[in-house]
Amino acid sequence: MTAASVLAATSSGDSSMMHDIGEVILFGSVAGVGISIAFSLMLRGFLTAGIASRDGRRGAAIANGALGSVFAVVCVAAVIGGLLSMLHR
Amino acid sequence: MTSDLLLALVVGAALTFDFTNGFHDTANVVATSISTRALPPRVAILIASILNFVGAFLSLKVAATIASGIVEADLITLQVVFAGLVGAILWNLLTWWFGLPSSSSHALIGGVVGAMLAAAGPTAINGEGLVGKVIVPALVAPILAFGVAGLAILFTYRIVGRLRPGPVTRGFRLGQIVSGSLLALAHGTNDAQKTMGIITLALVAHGTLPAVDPEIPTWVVVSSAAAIALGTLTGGARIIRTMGSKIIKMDAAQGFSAQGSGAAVILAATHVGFPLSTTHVISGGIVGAGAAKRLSAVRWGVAGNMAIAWVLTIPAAGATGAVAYGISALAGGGTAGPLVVCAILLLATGYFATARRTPPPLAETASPTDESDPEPKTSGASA
Repeated sequence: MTAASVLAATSSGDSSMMHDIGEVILFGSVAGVGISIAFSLMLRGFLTAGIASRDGRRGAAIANGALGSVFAVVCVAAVIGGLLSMLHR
Repeated sequence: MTSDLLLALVVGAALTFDFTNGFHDTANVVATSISTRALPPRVAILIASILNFVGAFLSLKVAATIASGIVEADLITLQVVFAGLVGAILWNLLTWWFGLPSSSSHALIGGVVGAMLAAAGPTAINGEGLVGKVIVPALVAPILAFGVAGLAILFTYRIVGRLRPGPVTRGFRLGQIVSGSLLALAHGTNDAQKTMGIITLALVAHGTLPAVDPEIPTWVVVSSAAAIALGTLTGGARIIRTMGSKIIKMDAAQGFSAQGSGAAVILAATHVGFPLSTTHVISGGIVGAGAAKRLSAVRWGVAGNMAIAWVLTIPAAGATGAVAYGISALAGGGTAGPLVVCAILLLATGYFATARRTPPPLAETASPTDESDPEPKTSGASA
């Protein structure tokens, strides 16, 4: 191994470029659109739950609170997934 | 054995590049958070700086993707690397001066390719590698981020559109702090390691480290992390203004969509091992989030200038790298050549700094807040 080959120490693997592009488009699209939808649904859930709670509509408050909580967990999981992907790249 | 002085020059140039990388790319991470008032500018930059520093420690695989598969590895010398770094630094400074976001990684690749062309001719360049690892990703990144951010904001407006804007805006601002932090971490992880890779190469060539499985010394990791963090901390308001308010006037939901989509695309690319430029992704995301709301909301002239800068990055940094290598070779190569290049750069910097002390006539009528306040004057922060 020459000194210069340190620069060349990475490998792009056997997968073709088109395969890589396809994966990036698929994962990137799903994750990018997904996180925005999840965060929006979380906001919607919690904000609507707050309004329903103030109006005395307990059932709606619980249902929307549950919606917000579920998507809050999804968002936290997405952030943890992002961190893990950085750690294990 | 390569002289200690040449080693010091390459390490110094690598850390300077790292600094300009952080300085130049701060805008990628903080611009949207600042323009939607999710965070005050100083706090946003401080958080980005800290997370860039932390990000540099997250993974210690030598980031050798720079130039690998693009130029003949066996022909790379420290003089070539030095000239390539000079080309990248100068292009980063020039695009910063004009407030244009451009890829620091492309600048470095362009610089090394140009210097290599000057040193060994076109046979040392792998055209296929250049297309596959640089050109195609440069096309994919902004288009993908544009589409993803555009779709994301359409769904977002659909979901939260009927809610009261005040709490929604506050919610998205909080989300932006998290998405911006992820971006800063990813930037630190990706970009600081390019510098670590170059310094490691220099140490191997010098004989300080073994050629087989060299272990990155702690001081290399710490100095690279510190350089990019310091660069981020002193980040230029010029590019922040371009990214944050000159392309579109963003609301908090658009800012979150641009940042969230950008972070997702970058992490997906990192996972697959496909090299995407942070700058291209975030810029594409910002334009996409704006265009999905209303095409005319995007200042296409500014976006066009950015695209021109992207196209010019590799040739311009390459030409500068080639000239730097040519001067170095004419001065005798070895350690003397890079020393002469450094002397010329110092003289040019001194001349430029002196010239700047005489304000141009128009500066007397410019707004005093024009340089210091990257925040837009209008809020535009409603979802």
